[in-house]
Amino acid sequence: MRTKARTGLVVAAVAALALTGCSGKSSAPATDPTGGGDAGWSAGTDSIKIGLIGPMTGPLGVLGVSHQNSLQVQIEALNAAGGIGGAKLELVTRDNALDPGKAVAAANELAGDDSVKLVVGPSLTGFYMAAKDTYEQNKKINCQPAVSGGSFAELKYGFRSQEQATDVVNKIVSYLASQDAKSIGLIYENDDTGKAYDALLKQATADAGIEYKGMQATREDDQSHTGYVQKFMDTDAIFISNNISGAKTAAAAVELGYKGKVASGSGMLLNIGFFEAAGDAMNGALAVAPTYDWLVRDKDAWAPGYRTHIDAVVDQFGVNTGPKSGMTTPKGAPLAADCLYAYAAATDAAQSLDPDKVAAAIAALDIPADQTPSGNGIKPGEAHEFYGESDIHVYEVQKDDKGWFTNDLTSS
Amino acid sequence: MDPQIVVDALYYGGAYALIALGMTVIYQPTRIVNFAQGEAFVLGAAVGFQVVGLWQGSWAVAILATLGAAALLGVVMERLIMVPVRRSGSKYAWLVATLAVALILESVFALTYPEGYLSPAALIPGDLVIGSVMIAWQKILVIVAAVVIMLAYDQFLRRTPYGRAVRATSFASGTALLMGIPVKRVILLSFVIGSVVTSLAGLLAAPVFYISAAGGLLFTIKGFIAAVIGGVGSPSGALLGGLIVGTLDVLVPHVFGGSNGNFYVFGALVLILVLFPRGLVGRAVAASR
Repeated sequence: MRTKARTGLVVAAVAALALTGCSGKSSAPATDPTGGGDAGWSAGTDSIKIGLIGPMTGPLGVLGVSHQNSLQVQIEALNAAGGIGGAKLELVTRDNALDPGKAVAAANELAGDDSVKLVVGPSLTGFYMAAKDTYEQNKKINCQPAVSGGSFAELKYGFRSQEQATDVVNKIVSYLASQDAKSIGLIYENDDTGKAYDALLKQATADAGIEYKGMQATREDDQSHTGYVQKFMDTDAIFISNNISGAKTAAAAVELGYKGKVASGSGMLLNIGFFEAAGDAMNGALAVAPTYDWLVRDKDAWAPGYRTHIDAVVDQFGVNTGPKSGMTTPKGAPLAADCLYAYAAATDAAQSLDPDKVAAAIAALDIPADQTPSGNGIKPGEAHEFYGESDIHVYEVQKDDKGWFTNDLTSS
Repeated sequence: MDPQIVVDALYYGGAYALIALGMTVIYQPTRIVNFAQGEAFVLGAAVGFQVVGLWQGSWAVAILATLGAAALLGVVMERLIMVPVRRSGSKYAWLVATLAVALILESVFALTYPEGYLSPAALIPGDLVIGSVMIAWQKILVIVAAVVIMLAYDQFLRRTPYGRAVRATSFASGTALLMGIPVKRVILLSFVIGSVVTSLAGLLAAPVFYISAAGGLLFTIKGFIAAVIGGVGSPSGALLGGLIVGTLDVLVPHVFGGSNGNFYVFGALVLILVLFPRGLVGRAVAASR
């Protein structure tokens, strides 16, 4: 039970980590890297607190710290531009240390603090499910860059800045159909995410005319996934987990000489541990993710807003580097920065900090991809989902003597 | 049966057997089940990763470094576990002490290696190809090492003065003390040997296992199950138990699917304990004492 829960947390966290997509491609500099700034209205206060709840320590500490870094960069940019309605921003961080009790307690604290206007987190689906009612009751605007499960459509004050599993599955299935793939199998943990992918693949493959060979449920203590891969040797593709379990699957596929395509969600691109464990087995794998410019070697092709944000993150906090694989990731999470970017834009549009007005303004946003920190267009609408299927790409991950890079197979 | 399954079962089993053997070595003179034993496994992998993976050093250096680091770990564990046990007088102090050491070491490894997985290049790269079956040489090395270390420890127990002292202390520590055997030193030696045996297993298995810096407790559980199945305190039982756990780990996902794995592994454990309360070879060991 505990193992399953922990696996679920890891899956959710890694999925969240993967999100640094962009869809706009322009060489023009971003005109406004903040989303807000001095827009000539008064917030009626000198300062606004932005809350962050996440794992700042422990095995997933890298997730919380990445969120913190990106939010800090965004706050500094906003403050330099005059703040929100003249009010300066201040980040308030609460470490839940992967303890659901601490996460809920922090959510209660920040939801009840009138000086906190936006809360990012708590990260991880299970933690958020326990906290979301508190936010609704306290009319607290909240944004979730690391919550993959559940629907946000019924929430008034909650928004998600992460891709949905539905969009990921639809994108990979349509890509495989375009490549005349006939069959696909799923190898994933037997958790909520794995079950969701199982159900989504059944539906999407049926619609696309591809045979779905079913799911092989893995265990956390599996040392080898050859047994699972052997069951799918005759398929054209295998969809694998985007956490370390997926790395085992990828390695097993290489060991067995699997001829089809191995595909995974966005998490693998930002998970150094995935590449450390799988090594060169990831060469040629497919990553289904929002636009991820970090591995695009031509920096001029990066979305301007993403480039501005990532340059600031790297300047201040640096880069994670896998000592064995050589894979790198910036020490930031632009999807978290999108939360604040959208909040600032919405308050400017509403000329108010009133949560009802701001929530309505966020839902009405339509920000082009070339402006946002993540590089994804933000258009939440009634679903309260920042991103849509058009933001999702299929990348082929490759490695040469210069290191890892991606080819966007869906760029045309 | 697919030969790949047999090989996987053997090398899993070999690694688990050496964790169980390390537990057994410590259990014999102390009657303490060391729940920090998996950390010694992680230590071996960490040294291999550090020396071979990060520093691009040779495997000879990695082996020497592992021997030294493991011996030091054994001394540290003995101090951190045995001192509280001797001073507290509580029957269960060992449980808290070993778990505390496990959690401390787990945190140290997790902080030292935030990348997570400790995977150096193989000592013997490449595969043995038999028909359509490819077997990594490193896996074969793990299997061979398990058998060799097991036999070497058996000879150590039978043929060396210290081995006889360990056996005497295991049989009756009070009497051994009266006979002039330095029981405390024997216990310290047992912690060192137990740590070295398990760390060597971690070092050799690291290129073909997925050893997480924070995953020591998982390997402790595997080794503990192996030790219980074979019979706690029995070196040959550790080998047998390790092979059974390894076989179950490999066969269950193939036959029943991964999600049902723990049910069958622990179900087998319960069944064996009902039929053989002292483990599969525990009775024979008790009779020989």
